Amino acid sequence: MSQARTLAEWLEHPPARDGLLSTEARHEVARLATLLGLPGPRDEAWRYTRLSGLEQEALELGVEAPLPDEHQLRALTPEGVTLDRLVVVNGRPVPSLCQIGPLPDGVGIGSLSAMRQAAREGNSSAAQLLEHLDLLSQSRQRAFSAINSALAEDAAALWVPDGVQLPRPLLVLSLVLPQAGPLLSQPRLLAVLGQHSQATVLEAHGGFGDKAYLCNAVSEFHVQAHARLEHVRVQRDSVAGRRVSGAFFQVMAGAQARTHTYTLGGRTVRNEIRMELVEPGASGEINGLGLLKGETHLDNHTHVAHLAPDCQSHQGFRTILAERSQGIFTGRIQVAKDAQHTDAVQQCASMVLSPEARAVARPQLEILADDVKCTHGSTVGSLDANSLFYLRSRGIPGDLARRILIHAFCSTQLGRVRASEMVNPLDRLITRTLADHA
Amino acid sequence: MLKIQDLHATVAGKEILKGLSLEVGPGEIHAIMGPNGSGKSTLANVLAGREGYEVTSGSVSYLGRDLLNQEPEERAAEGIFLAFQYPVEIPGVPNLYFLRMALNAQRRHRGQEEISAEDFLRLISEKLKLLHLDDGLQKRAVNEGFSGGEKKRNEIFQMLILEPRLALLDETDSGLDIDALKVVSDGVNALRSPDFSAVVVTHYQRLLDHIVPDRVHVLAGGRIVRSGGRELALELEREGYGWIGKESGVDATR
Ligand SMILES: Nc1ncnc2c1ncn2[C@@H]1O[C@H](COP(=O)(O)OP(=O)(O)OP(=O)(O)O)[C@@H](O)[C@H]1O
Ligand SMILES: [Mg+2]
Repeated sequence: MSQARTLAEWLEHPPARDGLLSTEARHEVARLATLLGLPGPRDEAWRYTRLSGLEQEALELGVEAPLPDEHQLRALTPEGVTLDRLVVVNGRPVPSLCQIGPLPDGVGIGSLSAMRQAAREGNSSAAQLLEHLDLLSQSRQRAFSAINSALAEDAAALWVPDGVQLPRPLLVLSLVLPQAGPLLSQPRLLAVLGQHSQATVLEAHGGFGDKAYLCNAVSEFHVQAHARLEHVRVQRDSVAGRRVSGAFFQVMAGAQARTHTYTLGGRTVRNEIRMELVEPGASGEINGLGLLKGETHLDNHTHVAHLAPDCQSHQGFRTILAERSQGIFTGRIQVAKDAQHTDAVQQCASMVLSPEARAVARPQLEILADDVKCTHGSTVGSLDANSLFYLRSRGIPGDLARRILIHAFCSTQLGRVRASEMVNPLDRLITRTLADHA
Repeated sequence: MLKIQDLHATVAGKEILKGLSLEVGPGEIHAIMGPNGSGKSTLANVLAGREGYEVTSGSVSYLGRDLLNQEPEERAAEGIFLAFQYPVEIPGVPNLYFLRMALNAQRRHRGQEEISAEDFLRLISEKLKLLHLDDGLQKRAVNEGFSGGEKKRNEIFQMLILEPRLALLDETDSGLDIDALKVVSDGVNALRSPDFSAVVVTHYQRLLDHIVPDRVHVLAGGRIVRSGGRELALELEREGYGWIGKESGVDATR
């Protein structure tokens, strides 16, 4: 019973059932989304990215998707690391495919709908989790967040109680499986890390098949006082896949949130990553790696908001651009008036492998405090001819030498991943992806 | 082993080598001296196959085959090793990984099996010991943050691991303290055999006290203008290159 409608039509008539939000609430936020409208050419933040034709396109919601096959699951699963696994297909968690090992008391991993059920049955932490929904995604200003809130049927959810450390990284495997026609997928993730808790979360997103799709993902992370979050996101979309993602982090006193976004494909990908350092001593890190070729267009937008004194942030993005790919980085550092002793760093480096590829870096600083340390820098280069000759002069064939140098360029990003069990699997993933880049 | 005949080469459209001829037999060590900018590094780079160095005429045969149509990595696998005047820093590539890739690539080219991890580590520690080097540097990225002398020592270390048949040392002795000079000369002398030849570019005769050359050549104005035994190096050290212009009609400063 799959129906295809334009986005405007979907927003006018969202599914008449409870989804991520209640039926009434989703209608309300759908109206809001319609008012906000899709970002257009005059939208400065969307200057480099067009989702042309989206308004006219008839899209399915793909809610009754088939189950993914083993091959598809394996393609997105990092090897050699024990994980708890949530599987999400076209935005909807599939309980039968989830694999969760024994967990410490009070930890909640599952679908938001299951949490809602638990809350109704009197589970207080499930009720608390629900209170955090949609607080960070800016769905009053950001059209794609409003669209997600209106049309998402469910969400993946993580609740880590105060003082608890997740025993294994949580893998949220999120697949886009287009069926008859173009698909609009709305994955959603809500994670709340209690005070002094610790968690590693890996979001692995991928799209399959040759059908067009738009995946509009929203993830929200509440990192409470002195908690530690390591968040890795791997995005492997198909050549016909478009992705708009929003990841939102709120970091409280003395807590640390580190997020890494690896974009390894897709037609058009726009990642928006927003981190608010809300209380003193919070620290945040936003890293990104893009391995682009073909026609891939990647637009990374970061926004780090220093809202309290004595916070630290680091942003580091690296992009490899082959063939006709494009990589845009817009990095915003905002330092509020009383956010003294802010220490903020932003670096962006691009390696352009083809004359037809294009890299753009746009730092945006907005500093209202006076006692701050804020540095930023960006470089655009190509493969270094001296290094290449050095390797070849030692007997390493040209194509291997190129791959070694490209991998070396990426390896600084791997070095920033603190969850040590994730480093090797990520490294293998990069190596495999690069095998057809050089 | 190596036969260069009437070699002309240009860099960035400018002719640097202008009819250079040189023959190096198996087991021989030849020293090349000459003024700054005379073309010594150009010669070394042409032999190693660096891009941007265009041979316009002349020939180079190595082990009886035309060298100039081979890719740099083929030349390396066939036994040519260039110790760079300015070794390159490659952040993100660990030294040992780089060396193992290089060694295995060369072995594959020669139809040999790849070296096992244990054998490789044994080889590394054996050569480190031979050169009295500690293994700290090998754990770092290729030449990254190495001092000038450490980079030169690392070149020699790589040479010992890769065991070339023809080593081209481009001022590997420049900027070295006495101990490092010993490392370099020990490294070359360790390889000395009837199957190993070397072309040693240097400005200082003191290296030649440790690596005793069979022949010494003076390269000036893109050509070998004089050749002799090791006593020529002593003479050059005493008298400089002022004589070149008068004797051979070549501008010594070019
Ligand atoms: N890439 C280049 N572009 C332009 N000119 C070059 C380039 N490489 C070398 N040259 C020129 O070629 C000439 C020979 O340089 P080369 O490096 O071979 O000299 P050298 O004999 O090794 O000198 P030194 O003793 O100072 O090392 C110099 O005039 C140099 O400026
Ligand atoms: Mg030189």
